Amino acid sequence: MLVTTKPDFETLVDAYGGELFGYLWRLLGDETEAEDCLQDSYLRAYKAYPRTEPDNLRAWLYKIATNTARTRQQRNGRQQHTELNEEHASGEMRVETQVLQRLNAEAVKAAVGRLPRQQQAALLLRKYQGLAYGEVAAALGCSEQAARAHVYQALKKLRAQFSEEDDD
Amino acid sequence: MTKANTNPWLEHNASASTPLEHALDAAYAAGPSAATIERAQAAVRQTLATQAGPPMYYDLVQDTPLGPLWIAVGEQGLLTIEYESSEDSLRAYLHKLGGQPLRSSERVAAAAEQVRLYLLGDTQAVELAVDLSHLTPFQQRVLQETRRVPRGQVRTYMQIANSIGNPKAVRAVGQALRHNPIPIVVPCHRVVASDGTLGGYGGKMRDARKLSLLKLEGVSFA
Repeated sequence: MLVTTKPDFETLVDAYGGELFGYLWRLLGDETEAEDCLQDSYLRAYKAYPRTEPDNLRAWLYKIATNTARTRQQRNGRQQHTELNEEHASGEMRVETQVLQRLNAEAVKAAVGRLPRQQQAALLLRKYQGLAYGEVAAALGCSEQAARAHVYQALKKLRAQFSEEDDD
Repeated sequence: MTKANTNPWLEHNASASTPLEHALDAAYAAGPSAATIERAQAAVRQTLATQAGPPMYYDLVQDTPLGPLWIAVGEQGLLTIEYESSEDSLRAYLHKLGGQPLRSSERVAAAAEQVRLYLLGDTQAVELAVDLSHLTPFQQRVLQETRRVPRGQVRTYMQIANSIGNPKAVRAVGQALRHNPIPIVVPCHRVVASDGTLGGYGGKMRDARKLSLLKLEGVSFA
């Protein structure tokens, strides 16, 4: 008789908590937010675990973390929107510094933050979390082909954005 | 679209070659500090500990005359004994009771030893605390009454129904015993039908087991 056994849920904190925190830290760009979101994600996962049979526990946890992060981002959306508008309003004055700062870490972070959510997540998952495209697809709830396309589009947009500044 | 697949930088830990890739790596490659990660994980463990419910320890007891048995114990006593069950279904059951299933041969050892001795023919009664609190009051009464039936004797479903003061509930008594979560220790095998047959047994204990347990206790069948 073949019996597959799911690991104790607690072991998933040791096994994946570190990298998931890294992911949320990159995705949300804020340590405290990432910490709260990690707790929310594990709570959600804990409740779902008894009735879940995931093929890939790692991808399953990334999916929950991604969705939890989205919910938080939407909740904070109004606030962020206001901040963005303020940034926009003072944008003209900033052009000069933007050119000087272009392609440093902060400028790229801001640009990644403005990418569509799926593209942003796909890029981070593939490149900095080391997920295979199949896992990226499982985490984002899309096809593998779509996962590849998201990463490709993300890089294309970033490249276009920063090369435009080159042309200035 | 295939370009995305052929960019070596997209492999984990591959080094950057373009200015954009360098900038992305500068922003994201390092990630949070080890101390921050440890703090975040500790906070998760703490949160989970408050959510997880009371620990319920279980283990597989091998080499009993009835084959391998799953045994689970909580803080209040024995929770379940299962034959031919999988670890997953046992864990699902313990989750349903609101507990946190933890596999531990150490915590289960005392109960396991008693059950094993009993099954090897040791005549001392199995005196183990049982936790029936997750059952209905009726089920609890039936099982408590069944615990009083001494080794080597049998009662009928009717007798149990009578002794709990509910003589019309014969079928319900049968149902409660059929769903006895702690066979052997709550000796549902000692309750038989009025016509002397073993009774409509299924659930966690099949007729053959019931018969072998009764034989072990010295009950003879004409």
